[in-house]
Amino acid sequence: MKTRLVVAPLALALAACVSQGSKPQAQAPVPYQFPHSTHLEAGVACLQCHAAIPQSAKLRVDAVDVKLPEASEVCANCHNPLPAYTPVQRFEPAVHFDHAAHLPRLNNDCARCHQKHTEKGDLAKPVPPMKACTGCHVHAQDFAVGRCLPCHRDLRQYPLKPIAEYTHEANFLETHGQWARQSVATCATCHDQTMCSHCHTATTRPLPPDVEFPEKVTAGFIHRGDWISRHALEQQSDPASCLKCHGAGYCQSCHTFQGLQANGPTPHPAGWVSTHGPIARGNIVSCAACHNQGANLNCPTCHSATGGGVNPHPPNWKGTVAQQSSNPVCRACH
Amino acid sequence: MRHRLGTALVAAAALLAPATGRTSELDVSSNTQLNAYQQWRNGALNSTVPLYEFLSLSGREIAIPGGDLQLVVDAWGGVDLASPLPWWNGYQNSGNWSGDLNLAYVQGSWLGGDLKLKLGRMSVGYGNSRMLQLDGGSLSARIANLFTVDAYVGAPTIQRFMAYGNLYSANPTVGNLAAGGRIGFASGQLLNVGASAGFAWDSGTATREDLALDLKVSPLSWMYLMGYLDYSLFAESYFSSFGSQVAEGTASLVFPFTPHLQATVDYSYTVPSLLLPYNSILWVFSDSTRQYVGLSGRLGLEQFGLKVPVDFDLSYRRVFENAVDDGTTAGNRVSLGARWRAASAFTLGAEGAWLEVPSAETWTGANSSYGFGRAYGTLSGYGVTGTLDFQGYWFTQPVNGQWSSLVGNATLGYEVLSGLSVVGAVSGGATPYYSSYFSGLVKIVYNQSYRSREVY
Repeated sequence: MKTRLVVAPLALALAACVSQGSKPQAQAPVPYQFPHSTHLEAGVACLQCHAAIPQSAKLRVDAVDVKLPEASEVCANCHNPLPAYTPVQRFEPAVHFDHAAHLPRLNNDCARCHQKHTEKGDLAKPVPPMKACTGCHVHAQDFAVGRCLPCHRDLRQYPLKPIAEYTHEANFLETHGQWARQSVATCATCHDQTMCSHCHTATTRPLPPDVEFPEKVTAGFIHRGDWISRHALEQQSDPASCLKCHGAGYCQSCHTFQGLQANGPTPHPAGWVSTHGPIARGNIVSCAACHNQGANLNCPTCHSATGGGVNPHPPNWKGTVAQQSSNPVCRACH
Repeated sequence: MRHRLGTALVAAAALLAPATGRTSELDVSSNTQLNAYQQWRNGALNSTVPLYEFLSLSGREIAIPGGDLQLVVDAWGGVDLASPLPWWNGYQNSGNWSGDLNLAYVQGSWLGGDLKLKLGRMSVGYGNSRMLQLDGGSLSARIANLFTVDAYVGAPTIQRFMAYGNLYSANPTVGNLAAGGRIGFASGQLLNVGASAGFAWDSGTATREDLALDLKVSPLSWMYLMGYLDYSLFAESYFSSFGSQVAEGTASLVFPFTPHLQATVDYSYTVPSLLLPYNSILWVFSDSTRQYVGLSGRLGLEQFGLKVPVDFDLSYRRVFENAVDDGTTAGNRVSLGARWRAASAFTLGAEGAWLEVPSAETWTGANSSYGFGRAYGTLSGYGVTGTLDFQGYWFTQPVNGQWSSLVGNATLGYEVLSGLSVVGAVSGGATPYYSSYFSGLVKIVYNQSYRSREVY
């Protein structure tokens, strides 16, 4: 079972991705050949050449939407004979766009979006600015809920810096969880979970990120440096923060490894038996780092109700006899 | 349970796998890393030389009927070349070889991304899930661009494929079944509000039963008010006061004026024992809370029009521990940092911090506060990147008999080819637990994106 759980997703990923012949995209750009401005100034309509655009529901990496007419009076007005021309430039579309749906609403006015065009010798294609979209589409709502992908194919390929509420500056490390819990889809617009997993898969990961990436000295790794010496102090200051990522079993695993275990030599100071109550009630999470053996932990040795032990419950405790019989935790003592 | 989960995963993946689709993009990240250091265990220092391979694959936009598919695998394997019993971060008995899956899921997306179904090993971050690492499924739907519904069900992941629900789970959510979700409403950037639930059981015994509310209000473009309240249904049956039943509560007022001028005022309330699994007997002993009020911010000199790319970060927290025996005690955490990013090739930074723990006593005796100082820098050029990092800690009470800790780290990396780098690192120092130590690592890192163009 374990083996299958590991192998199945890996095999699927490889089968779906590798066998399809994916290859690196590393091609030298080919200069554009067609002088758009000359033709626009001559009054040539866009659809004279881009004849297939009104039926195009998707942007395409091949330029099949450009179909020069076999014989055209419009071309023949200036060209005799017609010059040979083959659209050569390809580009990865950055957005999903349906020309067939948009053109009728714009009365076939291409210039509403396409305000700049390629000219002969250009290496890059000027794409319509985003304000061409937001002139009609209310973008604030999409932005608010992180709904980028229906239009944008993928934001990962752009060197974008997040803006406004998504800025990652200052104390973003501490507040990012609050943003994520409301719209984790927004995070996914730019980040795969593989990025999150460097910190957020503490259950399965073998190294903290600062050990895996010592060269990233500007990253905000919270366990950086001599964490071992200060971890008890950090835990004492904010016990809940440890439990956001680490179960008590994680702590016990290392403590046992170091010879710190419930039934081993005690690290506690002299007189611990008489002083431990207030400290335990104040920070029980620190106790759990060694004493979390379920019903087998050593607390009931003294605190068992059946053995005449000391009642350890805090003052506002309202547990009932019925709970004592139904909850396995209660039955450890009762 | 595990058998059913595995079968469901494979079946769903087979159904969703494209017959003729092509991977539009595949991100590959590989890190082959050899570490060498000494590790204290079982009363002696042991040489440890683990060799790791970290591998991430993320294939996106694989066409399927009506939508697209994403496949993600993030895994590692390791072997220790020197020691018979290394500690593999959370599991002590795995021998020389070890490995695990951090992520392994397939996600189908339909209706322009408004409906997503994810199956496999994943992290769940919405609502009060606490970034739960889960083996199971997650469904996300967006309705009319106003409402969101997210739900998950599965088994909390446990390290090294141990049995689910193991008492020694390193997962903070313990059990063999977890379920929860969030329903949300968003209206522009003005309001985002949601209600969520998180439940977990270990062989039928509840280990978590929480309901939560989250809120974000932004009446102005430069101000956000965020709030979160997580209420323990389980504790309601055992504690009589409302405060003891609230596992977590936070409120933040964020002012992201500009990238060089930002401020946050925040408040946090936690009952740490309620973050323990409820099948741990320990939480019945405890009655304490932690609170803090904090102020943090960034001020960059470029904010004033100066062409000096220096940013200053300040953070201050007043921490309160309220315990039934000791009443309220207070501590402080303050940090100050400065960073000069002269160019993308050069960064110099310094940090200082002071932590004063609120309570006076702990399980080892007197509590210590500590001061911290750090200086670091990076320099890049001609494909070579070097870093230096020095840190020092000074304790007000001895930690393991020592008053200070000094550590340093240096790295040197070279980009052999685009996306292919070799990095070496050495570190050393003197700490309370190692009178002197030295460690090194060498790693080969490969990051590349592959695209397979679609042909129509």
